[in-house]
Amino acid sequence: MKKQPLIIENLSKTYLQAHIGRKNKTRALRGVNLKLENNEIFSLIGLNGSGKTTAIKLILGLIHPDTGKVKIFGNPHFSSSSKRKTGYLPEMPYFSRNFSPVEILKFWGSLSDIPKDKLKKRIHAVLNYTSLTGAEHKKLNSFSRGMLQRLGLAQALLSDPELLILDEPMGGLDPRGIIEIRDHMKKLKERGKTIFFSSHIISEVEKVADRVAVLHKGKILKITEPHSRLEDEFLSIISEHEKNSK
Amino acid sequence: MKKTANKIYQIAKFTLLENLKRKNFLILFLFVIIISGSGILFSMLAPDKEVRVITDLGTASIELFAFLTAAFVSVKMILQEMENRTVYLILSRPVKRWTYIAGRFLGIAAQTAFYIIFMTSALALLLLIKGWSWDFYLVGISISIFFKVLIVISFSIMFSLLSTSSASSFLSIFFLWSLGHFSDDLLVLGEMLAESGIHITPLLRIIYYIIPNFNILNYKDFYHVRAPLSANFLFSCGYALGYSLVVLLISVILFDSKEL
Amino acid sequence: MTKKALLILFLLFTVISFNMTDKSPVYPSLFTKEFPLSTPGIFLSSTLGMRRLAADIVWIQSLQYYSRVGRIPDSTVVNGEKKLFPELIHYWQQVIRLDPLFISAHLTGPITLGWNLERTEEAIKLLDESIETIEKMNTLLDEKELLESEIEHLLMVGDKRNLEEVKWKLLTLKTVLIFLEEGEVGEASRELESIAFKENAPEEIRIMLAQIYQQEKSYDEALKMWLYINNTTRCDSVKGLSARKIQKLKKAIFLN
Repeated sequence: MKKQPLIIENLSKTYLQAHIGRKNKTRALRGVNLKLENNEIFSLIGLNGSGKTTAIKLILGLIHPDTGKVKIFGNPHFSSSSKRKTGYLPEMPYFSRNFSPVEILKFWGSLSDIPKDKLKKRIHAVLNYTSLTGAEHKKLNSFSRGMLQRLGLAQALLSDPELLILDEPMGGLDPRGIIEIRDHMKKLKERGKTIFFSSHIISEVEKVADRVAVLHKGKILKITEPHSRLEDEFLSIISEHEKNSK
Repeated sequence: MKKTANKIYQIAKFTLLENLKRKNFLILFLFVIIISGSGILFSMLAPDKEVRVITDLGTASIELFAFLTAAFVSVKMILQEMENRTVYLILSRPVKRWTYIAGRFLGIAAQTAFYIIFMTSALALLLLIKGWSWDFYLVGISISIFFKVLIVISFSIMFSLLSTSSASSFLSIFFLWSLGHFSDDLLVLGEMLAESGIHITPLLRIIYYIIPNFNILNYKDFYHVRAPLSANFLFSCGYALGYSLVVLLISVILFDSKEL
Repeated sequence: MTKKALLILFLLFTVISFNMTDKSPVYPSLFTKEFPLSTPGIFLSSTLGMRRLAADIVWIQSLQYYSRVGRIPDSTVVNGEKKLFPELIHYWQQVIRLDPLFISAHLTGPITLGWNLERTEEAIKLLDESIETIEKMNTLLDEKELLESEIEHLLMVGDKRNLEEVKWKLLTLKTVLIFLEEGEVGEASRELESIAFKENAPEEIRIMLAQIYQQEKSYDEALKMWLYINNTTRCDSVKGLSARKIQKLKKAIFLN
């Protein structure tokens, strides 16, 4: 039986900021628990500053949790085997402008433990999938925002990962770009991938996610299935929580 | 082991390519202009000492250019990658943090070596035109400059991990560069102060041993006294290499616990 | 654990390498004497490790300061007398303090002061400092226990030179200036002859000797000297000067 792609147990993180003799504590995540099922699209929604990016950074091992555990397909999240099975697309990815997609993907591929003989095929496959064939040798400084986002998705798919982690994948895109990303996510699910993404565009989350977790001030308030009135439900959950916490 | 070595190589290669594509090497043409100009100028100002003056100006310029480019590139690269999240894309892959630091260090070192070789060749060509007969000390000077700059690269990486400002990192590097050359005079100053009743010699001695001693590697100032590639020269280079590795390892330890 | 072990290993390697190197400075510190160094000189030499370059810059500044072409020479009035280039001694002192192994500077400065400007006292003061510096450098380098190959390598950009020989030349120059001051021109020229024809003797010594011969009306000797200077010089102005002198001397010899 395939192991669960992502298990988060009691994950907490507090940021300490020292500034001119004063120390500020920000509790970014508080006892978060989540379990993803195979082949599902799971969305983490919340307002700006709710802890979505912190959660993703913790999953990827970019920052260290105060408490809690993260497992990816049964392995600790910081292990090489977990990272080989994970593809990541950050919010507004940056790529060196003087390179072409092929050059950039060759570099990322060489760091992803993809065998040399398979790398060329994988590069062509992901460029084809993200409709970047034809522009593969053009310098990135001539790319539009949408094309860069597609390249970001291409690099996330390079090692053919089973779990995809996308941080605000629709951020900064025009309506066509948003639709493209949404379609890609559905196609990837059909190919057996599991997708975990964060967003604050509730209307888009409704159209693509299988399950949604509402994150507010570092706490998961509710896990639900998306529906047409998700936005209203999201806002009422948050205002109720704020009322209760006063 | 092989995979890790390959990743370090790939990061180093990418670092070198990135800098070449950014056309940072155009600064080398500025160097060529400076030494060519100096060749013309000194043939008028100091016709019987052309070779000496061009050698001194040329080697000092090589060192300054190598130091500035290495420091700028190291500081800017690390800080920029943390700001624009490129480092997330690297570390979300099966790449250990120390591999990233090692790869960047080697890439910048390779770039520095390339610049130094180019500049030394240009200087040698000018000197040969001016009647100099080839002597290996010029290679000795370049090697000593390279090892000095290795220390600078490792410190630049460390400072950029400690600070979020490229200006403060660069100023710290420059201060360290000056202090490292001033180390011998520190002890002399300590003795002079002791004569006036101010006893800080022990403190200055500690500083002397902790800061990198660039004087022992300042071969361009005493190549006419010491032979290149002597045992002393090799030990000085060994010291520089060891020192860079210590600082690099400290950077790795800092980076391991750094919140990105 | 591995990182800590590696750190200790690298630290040990660094400490051992550092102990094996000769850490004693090659040059005496600039802070052992009081002297009016210009700010760029101190900055370059102490903080950026560019003593030789600083010496070159100050040396060129001294040549520019002394150069009279198209300019009113710097002067001051001392005890009712006009003194040209009053700062020249300070420039030359800076040069030899920045780079004690700038052999040309040790020889050229006293000649300019003592012979060209007839300020024997300043020239001897400079020579005494040069001799002391060369003795100090000799001792410093002896203490370094240089290898034989390194002693041979005691160069100034390709020239073979030995500090004992340099010291002897400085003492000779001092003797020459004293003889000239006392009017013993014959003795002075004999002393100068002992160093003027040595390999890489500064041109100023040969020019000085040529001028002494001319003063003493030894036109044949003067002509030989100027011809030698004309053949060996790389300086256009010296070439021009020697060519004019040769013309004059040929006439003088012909008339005699």
